[in-house]
Amino acid sequence: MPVISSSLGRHLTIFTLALLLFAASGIATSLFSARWHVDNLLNTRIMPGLVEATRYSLMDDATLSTIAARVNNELQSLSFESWPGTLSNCALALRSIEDTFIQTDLQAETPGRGFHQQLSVTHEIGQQGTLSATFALDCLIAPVPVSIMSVALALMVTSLIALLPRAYSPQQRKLLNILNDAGLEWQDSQSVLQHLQKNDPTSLQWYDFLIQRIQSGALSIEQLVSSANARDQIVFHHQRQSVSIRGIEVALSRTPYFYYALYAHQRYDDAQRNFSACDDNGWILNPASGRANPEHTRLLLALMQEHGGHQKAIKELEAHGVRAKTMDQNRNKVKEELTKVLGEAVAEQYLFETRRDPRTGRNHYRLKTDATKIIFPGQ
Amino acid sequence: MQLLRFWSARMRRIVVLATFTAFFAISIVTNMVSHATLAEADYYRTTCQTGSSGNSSQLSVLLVTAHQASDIASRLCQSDPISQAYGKVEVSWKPRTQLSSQELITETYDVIWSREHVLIGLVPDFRDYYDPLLHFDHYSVYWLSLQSTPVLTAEYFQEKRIGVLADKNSHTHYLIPLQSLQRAGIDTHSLELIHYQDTSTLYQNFQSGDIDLITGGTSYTSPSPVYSTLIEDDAIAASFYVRQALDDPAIRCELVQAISPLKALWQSNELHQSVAQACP
Repeated sequence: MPVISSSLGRHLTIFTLALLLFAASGIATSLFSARWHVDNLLNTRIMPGLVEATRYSLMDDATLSTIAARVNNELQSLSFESWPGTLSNCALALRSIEDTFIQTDLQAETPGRGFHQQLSVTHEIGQQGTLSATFALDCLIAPVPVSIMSVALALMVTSLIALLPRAYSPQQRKLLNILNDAGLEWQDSQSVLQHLQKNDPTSLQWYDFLIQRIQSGALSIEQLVSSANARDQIVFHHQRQSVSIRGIEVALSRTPYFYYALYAHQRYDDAQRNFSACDDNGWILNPASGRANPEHTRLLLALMQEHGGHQKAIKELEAHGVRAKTMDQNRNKVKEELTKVLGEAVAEQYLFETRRDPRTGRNHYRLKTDATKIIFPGQ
Repeated sequence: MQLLRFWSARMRRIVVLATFTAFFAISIVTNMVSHATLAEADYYRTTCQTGSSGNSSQLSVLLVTAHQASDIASRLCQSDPISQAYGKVEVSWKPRTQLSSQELITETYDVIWSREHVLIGLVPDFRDYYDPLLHFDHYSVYWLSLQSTPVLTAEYFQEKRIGVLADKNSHTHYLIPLQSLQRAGIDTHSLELIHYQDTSTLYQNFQSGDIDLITGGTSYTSPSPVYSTLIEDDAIAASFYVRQALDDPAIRCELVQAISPLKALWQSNELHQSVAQACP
């Protein structure tokens, strides 16, 4: 829901911006182009006509107002055409000739209505003289055509922008390239990307990992597709001594696997037993020599016996219990094997973290992965 | 679809911006005013209705200047004899150089203000179509200078810039000054004559000092002190002619009354009425 509403808000903003922009530009364009046409008419017809009419006249006020009355009367026939009909009503009026201000009836109506533009023209007469005049162009904007036009254009632009697909991140594009080169169909690579997009912030590392793995040939396209559909979790398969991390199965050596599973069980069971918000559980303390934890020994033995552990390892456990040295060796082995497949950055999230016990000076170890992400099928 | 591999956030921004720009351009182009229409018209006429409804005939008067044109029109429209005969009065001050012989022959204008020699020049038997209605005499024309009193000698006029009108039918501003120079024995070919299209530009350039000498009648009042030398005190001003067919004495009298106030242009001039019978 928040995704939908935020994109709705964004598109609403685009729509509003576009609406305002199109309305303002439409009005400004029609006004400026009307002015351009008027300037043209002034230079080609109105001013030459005015020069003709004033040629043999003394420029007294009464004479000028007679001429101006005629000019203003004729200027009423001015009309503009534009496709949407933005300008509903424009009035052009002669306001002054030389420095003589023209009194007209029109003045009473025009001020304050619509958009006012003042136009000053100086027209050359022959080579020696000039005739200058000022005109007022008052235009009213037709609200309906302007609104319809800008709403229609804003709607079109907003829907076009809304229809554009989401941008791909650099990692996604790199992955797309690789998938494409590997011969994956476009539709399939799209669905891979869609799944990957749902992932949490660690997906960045995940992309890097996937790209590296695929490029080095360590990961097949099939693995990638199944990984794309998988959740961020680690699944322990006791029967075949392998873990599936985000859908990518990593086979481990037999004994290190069972030690890995021991830590996973500790983390998982502690979380099951203790629902407190405190996450300080799942730790296993490296035992002092000759003082193995019987609980851990029993658990590990059960796992190994049930799922085909090495006889040698089972015998050693039965004789000495879980020993710190063996634990260290097997954790290192797990780290080595996991890193080999997943790379350091990704593997690290599913490996161990450590805490020093201040009293004994020995270390506690536990699985870094959150207990909720640890899965034991059939349990 | 392969192109989507390049679909980065930056590319998307560019496409969004381009879409926006394209629509912005569409909005500008569609709102542009494609065409402006303005009815063909001249600005040298004024009209009024006499108030007699249903009468479509028009009384046309041709003047030289817009000076008092609307007063003359309204006086004519308010006159009873004219409103009985005409529905509309039109007073025009079309540039006198544009008057054609065709307009004289077809009697386009009921009253024409012009000089006889100009009209005869256009149509030699002009007097078969038009009668004199009114004329003004005895107006004075002067050489005018802002620097010193003009003296009619070749030395004085040497190196002076002299302003005249390009309209070679103009009495005051072309014929009289050239005749004056010729009579004083000054060779006009050696002088610098500058031709102007209209009187107001002529006066403007005189006041600004672009030209040194012009000619002018008594109607010209200079804003700055001016030195003057009389050329002629008996110049013939333009006259008014009326169509022969327009022979109703009452209407002719109304025309004389409406036009007479123009004598203020020549101030002290005598007014000579050419209508046979006296008007009230």
